[in-house]
Amino acid sequence: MRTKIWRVLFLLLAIGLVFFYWLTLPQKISAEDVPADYQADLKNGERLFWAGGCASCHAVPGAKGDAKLILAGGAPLITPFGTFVVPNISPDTEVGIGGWSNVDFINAMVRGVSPKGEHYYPAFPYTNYQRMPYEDLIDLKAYLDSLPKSSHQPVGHKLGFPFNIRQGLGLWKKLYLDGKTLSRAETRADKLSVGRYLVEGPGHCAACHSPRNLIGGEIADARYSGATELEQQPGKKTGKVPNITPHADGIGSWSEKDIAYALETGLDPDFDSFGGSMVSVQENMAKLTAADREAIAAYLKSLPAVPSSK
Amino acid sequence: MKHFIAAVLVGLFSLFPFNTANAEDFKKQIEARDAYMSMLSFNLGLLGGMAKNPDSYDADVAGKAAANLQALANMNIDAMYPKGSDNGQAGLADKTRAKPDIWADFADFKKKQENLQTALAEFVKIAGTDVDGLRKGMGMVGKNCKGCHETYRAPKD
Repeated sequence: MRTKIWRVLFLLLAIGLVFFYWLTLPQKISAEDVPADYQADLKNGERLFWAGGCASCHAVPGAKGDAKLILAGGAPLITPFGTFVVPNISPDTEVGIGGWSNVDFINAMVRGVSPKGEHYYPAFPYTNYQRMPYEDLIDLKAYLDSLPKSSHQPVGHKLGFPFNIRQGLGLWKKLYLDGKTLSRAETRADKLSVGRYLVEGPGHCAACHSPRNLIGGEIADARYSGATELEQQPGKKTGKVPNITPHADGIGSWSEKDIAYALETGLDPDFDSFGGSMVSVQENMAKLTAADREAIAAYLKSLPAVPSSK
Repeated sequence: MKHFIAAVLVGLFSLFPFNTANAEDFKKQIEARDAYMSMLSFNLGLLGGMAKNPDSYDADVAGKAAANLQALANMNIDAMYPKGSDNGQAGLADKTRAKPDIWADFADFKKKQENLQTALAEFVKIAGTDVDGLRKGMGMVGKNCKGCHETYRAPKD
């Protein structure tokens, strides 16, 4: 009798594991989905590079000016889940992404899956990047390939249980990765659609400005209403990320012109300057065209006004 | 005997200088810092308002505001930034946003002030000339505000 119970339990466990494995399998796009004859537009690639803030995480910490274009990685992101170490995404073929095909790159950006078929952690904001049209991603890849190589090999992540089980991210993705990629037309139709695209997609504003739940998922009805900084510095106070909705708690008193000017210069309507990690973001935004910054401003003003969570 | 006890107490407290530091000790310095920053942003606001709305440009107002900024930036501010008056100290977390990093590398903090002084020496030459000069100069000045706030100021609560 006792051996029978054990057998049943063992069988259930085996079925459970197979089911978990099947449920959490990385989902990839296939080569046929990618427009093969598309000619990359480097200028648009550069625009998306700045809008996406790639250098803010992937450049060597503290890099300024042209040094920001060497995407050697290595910055530690200390979070409640553990320490993520930013990878090298320079065009080096050994340690960077120089050997990646367009399909590899698109899979990383919209599915959060590596060329080896492993899940990436969402510290890499693919839940936002998944909105990017494939043509835009090909442009961005071409631009990244034009940047200097670095052979620097950053160390791996240091995460606690259960976050160190990558396969488990398959479940997380079921909740937070909806797979909706925009068409190019949807990203360019008018000013508001350009703004929505830049904010929701490459700009990944929500990644810092939205509150998250215990497993790091964005709380949908409180998007953009501000958050506690995910990055922590040991022994130091954890900062707050501001509410950027048009609520009185947020930037309700800012005009579109104020927002665009702040993104251009780093000066808010009170002529206080941006500080902390927003400085690097703003300096990226300053490299966009005035029209793109105005589109971002228009979209932010169109968001639902949400009070900050207390 | 009294002298002995006093000497022991003084000796003990001098061993733990930071434990005796509290919000009260740095109240005046922190108030002065806040006031100083208000004067900077007030003058910068006069200029920025014109940069945003070029039709309102007034060369005389712009020139004077730029000169005020330069005068402020040239002040010696060391006495307003005593060691230990940072947001990491007990009782100061909600009083100041100055990070302890300032005193970890005070020479770099001072270097950033010098950079602002250099930028403003250029700015006063162009702010009162025309609105294009003003707009260009705002970028130079703003860059130096951020240069310090990026590293040395904690976010708002």
